[in-house]
Amino acid sequence: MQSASSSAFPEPLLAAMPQLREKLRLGFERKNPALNPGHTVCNSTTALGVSWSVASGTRQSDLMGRFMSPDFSDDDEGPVSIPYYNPSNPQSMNLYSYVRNSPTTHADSDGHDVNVCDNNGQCHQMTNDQYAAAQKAGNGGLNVPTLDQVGMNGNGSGQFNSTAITDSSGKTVGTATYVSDGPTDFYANRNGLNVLANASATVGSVKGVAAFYGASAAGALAVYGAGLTAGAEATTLGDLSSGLTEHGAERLAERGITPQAARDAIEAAKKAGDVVTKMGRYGTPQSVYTANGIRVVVEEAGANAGKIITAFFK
Amino acid sequence: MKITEAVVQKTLDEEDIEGLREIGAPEDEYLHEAQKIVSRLSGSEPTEESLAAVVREVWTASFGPFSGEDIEKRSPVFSKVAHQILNNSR
Repeated sequence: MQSASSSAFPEPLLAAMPQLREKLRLGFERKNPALNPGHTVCNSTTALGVSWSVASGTRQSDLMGRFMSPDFSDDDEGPVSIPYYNPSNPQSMNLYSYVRNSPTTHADSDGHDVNVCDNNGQCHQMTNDQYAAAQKAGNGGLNVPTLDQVGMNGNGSGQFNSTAITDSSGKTVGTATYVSDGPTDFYANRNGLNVLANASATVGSVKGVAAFYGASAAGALAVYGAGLTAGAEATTLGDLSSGLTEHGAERLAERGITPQAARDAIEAAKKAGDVVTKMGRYGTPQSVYTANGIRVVVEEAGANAGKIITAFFK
Repeated sequence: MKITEAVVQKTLDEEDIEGLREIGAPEDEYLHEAQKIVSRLSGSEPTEESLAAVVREVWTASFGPFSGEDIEKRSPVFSKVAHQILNNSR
């Protein structure tokens, strides 16, 4: 499980984050508290002494170990009658079961991740649901691979390759890489799907071909954390190169200079006094910082004030 | 007439619109811009005006956003670059 990174993330994806985060929270609160410590649900006890928890509109009886209302879900077309049905596993038709009646070994975490990275190595991890929804949204002309494309770009046994995110001219501006959550993960095990079904795989929230993902409790917690982080940020897919002009982002990426290395060089140059401010050819002041073997050029005024225009080894 | 990436890059290098080459930037500093310009032409034979518009568009994406004043200041050099590219491609 890779950890969530904090900063740059494509705008169109994050634009959808508030509602996605809410969906993630609601989905998560529905899970077994014992397997997902730290989550919050509304608990109550009836006059008969039966305790139950409410989250996402689905009551879960702590006593009975099952949902008290059908584990339905909606998609774009409305409610899905048997949302997580897997024909190879009849138990999946039971809409009241929690993780197919195997709550001590599985968690219904919705926890399947896609790690989205920009060309500068800044990454952001999101759940499959978040990714799938964001992928369908407008992405400012970017070509973002579908969840299936990302999930199927691997060897079927847990190893995944990066799938490119490109702009309208075909240039790669980032990558999306599927992150397996554990041994029952659909995409990680698609070569052994029948075996997985017979093993009573965990039910996931992604429908269709990915109808029975699995996730470990540990993975679920990590995903939950990633979801909260994602929702708290204001970065976007179009903001892949925050703090840099497009030219700067491309030059740094191609030269293997991370934005952090450039920022470190700026700070070191300031301390050493190795800063030259010059007037650009069109009247915009630029500062040239040289330190740590790197020269960094920063625009000092106008719409790009504070942005790195370029950096190169010196 | 074929406008090649090499011709465009050489022209951009010589003109050094942003003054980055003069402070030590490597030879490939404007490589991506050259590639984008050639890509947008997609084999067509542009006029000087249409080529200047392409240069301006690529430049704004790479180094912008520019204010109206910034664009105005750079406009003559966009035209000059377009003129030189066409001349060097003949």
